Amino acid sequence: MAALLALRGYPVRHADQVRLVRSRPSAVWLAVVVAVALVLPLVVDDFITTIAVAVLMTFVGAVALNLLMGNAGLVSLGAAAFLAVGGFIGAALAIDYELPFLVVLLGAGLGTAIVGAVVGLFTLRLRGLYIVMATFALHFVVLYALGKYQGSKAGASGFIMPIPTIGSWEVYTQQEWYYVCLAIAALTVLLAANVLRSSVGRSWSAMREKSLAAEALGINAARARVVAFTATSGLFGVAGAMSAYYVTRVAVDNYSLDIAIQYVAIIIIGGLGSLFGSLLGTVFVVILPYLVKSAITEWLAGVPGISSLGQHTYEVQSGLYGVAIVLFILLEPYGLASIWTHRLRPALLAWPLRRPWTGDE
Amino acid sequence: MSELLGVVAQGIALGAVYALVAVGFVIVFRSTEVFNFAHGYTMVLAAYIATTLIASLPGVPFLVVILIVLGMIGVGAAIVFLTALRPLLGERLWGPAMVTVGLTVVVQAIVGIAWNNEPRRLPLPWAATAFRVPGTDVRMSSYTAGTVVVCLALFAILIAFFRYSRIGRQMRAAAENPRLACWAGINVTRIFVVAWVIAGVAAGLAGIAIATNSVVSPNLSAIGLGSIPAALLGGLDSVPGALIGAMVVGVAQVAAANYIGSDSSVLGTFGLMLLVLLIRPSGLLGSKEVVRI
Repeated sequence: MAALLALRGYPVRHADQVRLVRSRPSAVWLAVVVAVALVLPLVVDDFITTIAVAVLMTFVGAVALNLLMGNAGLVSLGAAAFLAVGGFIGAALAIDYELPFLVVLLGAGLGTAIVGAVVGLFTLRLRGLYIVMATFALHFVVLYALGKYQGSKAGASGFIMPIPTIGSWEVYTQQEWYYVCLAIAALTVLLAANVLRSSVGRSWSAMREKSLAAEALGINAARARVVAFTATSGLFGVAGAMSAYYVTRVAVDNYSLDIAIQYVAIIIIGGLGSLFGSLLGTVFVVILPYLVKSAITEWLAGVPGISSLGQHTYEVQSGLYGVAIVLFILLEPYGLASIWTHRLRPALLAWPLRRPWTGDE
Repeated sequence: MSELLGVVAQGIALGAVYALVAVGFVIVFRSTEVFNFAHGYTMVLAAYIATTLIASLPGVPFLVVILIVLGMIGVGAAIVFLTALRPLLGERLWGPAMVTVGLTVVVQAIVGIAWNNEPRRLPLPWAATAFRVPGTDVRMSSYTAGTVVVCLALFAILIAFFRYSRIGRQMRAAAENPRLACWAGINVTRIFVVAWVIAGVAAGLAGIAIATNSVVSPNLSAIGLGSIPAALLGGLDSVPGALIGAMVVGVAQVAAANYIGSDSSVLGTFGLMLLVLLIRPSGLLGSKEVVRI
């Protein structure tokens, strides 16, 4: 039996289970993805590069939320609040202390992680839905506090970030930004993949499935929860500081509840608990506004009544996020990633049969 | 002293609106265990529909138009429940809650597209008269006082309904234990639909009540959001709790705005909500969550 499973690429030993790249085909795919990612900005124009930068930047936060929600099972509407904390710590470090870019990112990550740890401690008594509500309330309280800070130091327009420098290299063009974001996104993926195949990741899964059963197995569920909040908040902090540099302005009105909902949409559309899903969801949500705009102004321009939607592209696109959230939860709860792993991939493997051949009945 | 009384009076006026919205959260949560984030925005939608209907049906009496609006919202709530939430019942709690987050965005988009997010004013059927609240310096419109009366009346009707009417008792039974209720011959799905319709109608009433007091704009959703702390403070499954919680949150918000600073009202709502979650997650009158092993 074990030999048969091994033949089909299933892990049969612990070492296979925890290997980062599990099989030769996936190593090939990984190499292809890395190669494409490295040459992408050299072959496409600035417009596509800008979108790619947005994808990579959003992706870091999406991975963080997916670890928290998909893997640790702690549903959060606090994404925007943690991004804001990261952005504000980044602004303080970069403007008041004039620290270099990478140090600021690290500092913002650490600072936000501490905030996340405190939040994690505060939610220890709560379960399920009440955690959603706590993060929901937290969003408003955090933004209120940051708004006060902003009002006392910078005024309504917010903080203006300096141009980031690494050594003597100024990150300025879209291409330069792309490679910086790619490096950080790659680090994030590596970190997340490693956490998930360690005991920490397994304790998160156990806690998500049934916290009581996890404790019976000797897992400290309270510690697992605090670690989950701390680690993902750290990632949010890095993402927040990075995007603060990119958009050059840090102000509370950039971090509305809509942003938090958008991140939730990303991981529900992409696939809960799946790194690949985080990427698919990010691509979908980042590209959607451009598609909506093109659809309204070009492809569907002939349809009567469509031009009146021209001034409502924002509403159309956010409405589509909403519809997508509802439809995915109802019809495909594990998102685009699950369409691949549970529908397309088995179909491809079984081809030309309709179902995989399972041997003699 | 008169300042404090004034704060309390204004807080109760605000709390009445919160209570109208919060009771919808409670009724829906109690029966179907869905925390409906879209509920607050339903109220904004109702207010906008009311402004449009009143403008487009000039001859029809105000109260009839209100009934039409409430009917539309009630039917909408039933349809949304049956299509988007019924299939998810009994699943992990956050699934339905996230569906309602998605619905919030959809309703928001509908308001944006249909009404351009423009502020509208509800034409009032009777001229508003202002009066001074006894013992204070606060002046209040007759419509604000009317809102408080409508709110108290609705709660009296609902409490009586749950205690004495057949459907009300069936609703309590279905909320307590859907499976047992089903075995006792109660059509649980129908009961759940009734709960959603009642919640929708309450949200519609809240929307119209606010529209009589202020300009209708998407900013009204702040009141929808602010009623979430109210529902939580009272206890998510207690109807009288929603009234008490809403009054406390209303007074706390006015007090925070009055004594700390006009932008600090968030401390009275969401700050209070965090405190409640920290100290007593089941709220003032809510039942403690029982952990099933």
